[in-house]
Amino acid sequence: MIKDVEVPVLTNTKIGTNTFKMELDTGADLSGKIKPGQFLMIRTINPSDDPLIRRAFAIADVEGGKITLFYDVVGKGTKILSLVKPGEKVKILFPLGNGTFPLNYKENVLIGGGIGMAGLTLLGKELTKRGNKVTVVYGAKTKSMLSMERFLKDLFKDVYIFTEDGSAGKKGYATDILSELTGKEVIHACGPIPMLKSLYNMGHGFKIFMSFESPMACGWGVCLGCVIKSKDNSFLRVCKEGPVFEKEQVII
Amino acid sequence: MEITLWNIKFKNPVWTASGTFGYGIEALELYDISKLGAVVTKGISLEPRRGNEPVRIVETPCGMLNSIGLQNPGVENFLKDIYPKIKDIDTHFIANIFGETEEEYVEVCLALEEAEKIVAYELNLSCPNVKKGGIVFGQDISLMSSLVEKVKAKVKKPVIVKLSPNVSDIREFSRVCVESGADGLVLINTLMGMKIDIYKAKPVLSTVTGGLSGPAILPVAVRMVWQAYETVGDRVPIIGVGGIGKWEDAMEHIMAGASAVQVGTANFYDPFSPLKIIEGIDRFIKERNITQFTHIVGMAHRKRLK
Ligand SMILES: Cc1cc2nc3c(=O)[nH]c(=O)nc-3n(C[C@H](O)[C@H](O)[C@H](O)COP(=O)(O)OP(=O)(O)OC[C@H]3O[C@@H](n4cnc5c(N)ncnc54)[C@H](O)[C@@H]3O)c2cc1C
Ligand SMILES: Cc1cc2nc3c(=O)[nH]c(=O)nc-3n(C[C@H](O)[C@H](O)[C@H](O)COP(=O)(O)O)c2cc1C
Ligand code: FES
Repeated sequence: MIKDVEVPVLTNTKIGTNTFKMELDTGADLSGKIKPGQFLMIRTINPSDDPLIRRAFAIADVEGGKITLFYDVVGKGTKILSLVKPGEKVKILFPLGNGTFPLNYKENVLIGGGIGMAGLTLLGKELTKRGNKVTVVYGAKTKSMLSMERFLKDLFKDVYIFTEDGSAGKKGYATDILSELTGKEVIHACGPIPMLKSLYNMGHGFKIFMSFESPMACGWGVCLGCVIKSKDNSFLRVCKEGPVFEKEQVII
Repeated sequence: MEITLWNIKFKNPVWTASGTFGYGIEALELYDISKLGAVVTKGISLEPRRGNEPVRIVETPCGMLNSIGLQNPGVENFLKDIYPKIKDIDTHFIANIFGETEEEYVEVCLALEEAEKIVAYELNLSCPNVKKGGIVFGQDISLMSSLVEKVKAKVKKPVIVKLSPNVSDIREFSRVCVESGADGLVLINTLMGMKIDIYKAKPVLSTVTGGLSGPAILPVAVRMVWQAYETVGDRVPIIGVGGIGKWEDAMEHIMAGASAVQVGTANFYDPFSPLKIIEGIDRFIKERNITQFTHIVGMAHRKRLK
């Protein structure tokens, strides 16, 4: 079942120039109930009708009843979210999305572009728990935007960093890692559309699963606003059939 | 809060609006939808429609614009794949119907005549008539009138007509619609609007314009329900839709003359809002010792006369 609950914010901390980490206490036991790739729709409890629509964020981590999100402040909704103080409540609709990442492959590469990395961390944890191998590749424009680096290094052994300007890690794009990989089966990716597009066009020989973003009004399948084109030229809902699709399912 | 319209008993006067609740199936993951007075389906056409290219939605102040393009599987697939999943749900369904010609509207209704769970047809007039140079049915009084007459002549179930607010005088459209045989009016569909991305210097929606919905349109909807009630309120029931997110908004529609209301965009940002609205109206009535829901329908008109 999908739940709509008001929950207290435990922490809401600035962890980079523009990035926040938010922890929520759902008060429920969520262990095993959230699938990697699933997301939530959030708003503050302010009764104002502006902004109206909830914002979508990946569920980046789950521990007991605690949910962790990472978000970039980009506009009105995320600005308002960044002002919420610990102890205050927010409204969340979750868990959303039926298209999730597979957990059964042995050799996995997780490629995250910018804040898209938040869509892969729960996956990495679950894969590791199952004894599968995880290589994490994290790319950003510049060093100051690598706000999830610490969190990643705490969780995973095998972390590669790329920056477009070379200010940290290797210079280049996260997808550059493809030429160096041997013995890997699967790529799981989340990030900006240009990154997903280049993966889409060059990731031959791998199975590729990608998590997409799209403007969403409902998040639960009824507005038909969030669609992406499928291989048979019909439309799939990112919020319902996705947000994770195998490369072969969609056209981007 | 049971109400009776067209000899059909509805559990309550709170329904979900077309295109904002699918066919009710997704909502089963959220709550027991048999608590709703009725579910109005996503628009159904004769042939499947894939809908418009993205971008299809964008948020605006206290509202949103959409240009979904009436994506739907077509009436045949609806009956085959979707109807079996809803036919045992313990509330009424109203089929929202559209076509590009009069014949298509009639054919879709006829295809649904035997489907018992569907208790009425709601004609969506926001579609262009391809045989008449693409003029939108709901924006031309003679196209609307002819369509309503044709459908009414052929079908058994009640036919309610969802009017476009994008007309110069809603009273005239309401009157003609009822004189053409409509069993009820639904007001309002979305208002035409647009949004420009100033950094890209281009319209946000792929179709340039889209339909505005949400709290922003509440006052317009209430005004139109009010005017329709003044014009035809003594002849047919009026169903209010537009900007309803809370029970107070629903109450405005009802006092303006709505016999029932539909919740649309609020399903997106507050999925449990229909249930909260049912509770709110119920509480309001009980607190004031109003014995029957119908006593508050159009109440603001009567107070005004005094
Ligand atoms: C499934 C999913 C998971 C996401 N996970 C994360 C995450 O973990 N961390 C994170 O920082 N961001 C994530 N995003 C993007 C995030 O939803 C947007 O950055 C956010 O909605 C911006 O809101 P705003 O009001 O600040 O921006 P504005 O630009 O003011 O928003 C205007 C409108 O556009 C929509 N919008 C703007 N950017 C996006 C976008 N990239 N994707 C979808 N809708 C957008 C908003 O929801 C809003 O309706 C995710 C998006 C989706 C669809
Ligand atoms: C995404 C979306 C899709 C819609 N699809 C339909 C439709 O298929 N048929 C129809 O008659 N109205 C459709 N509508 C209009 C709504 O049923 C309703 O009349 C309108 O949104 C105003 O109500 P609201 O402000 O409560 O949303 C749609 C509205 C939205 C927002
Ligand atoms: S966000 Fe509404 S259908 Fe996907």
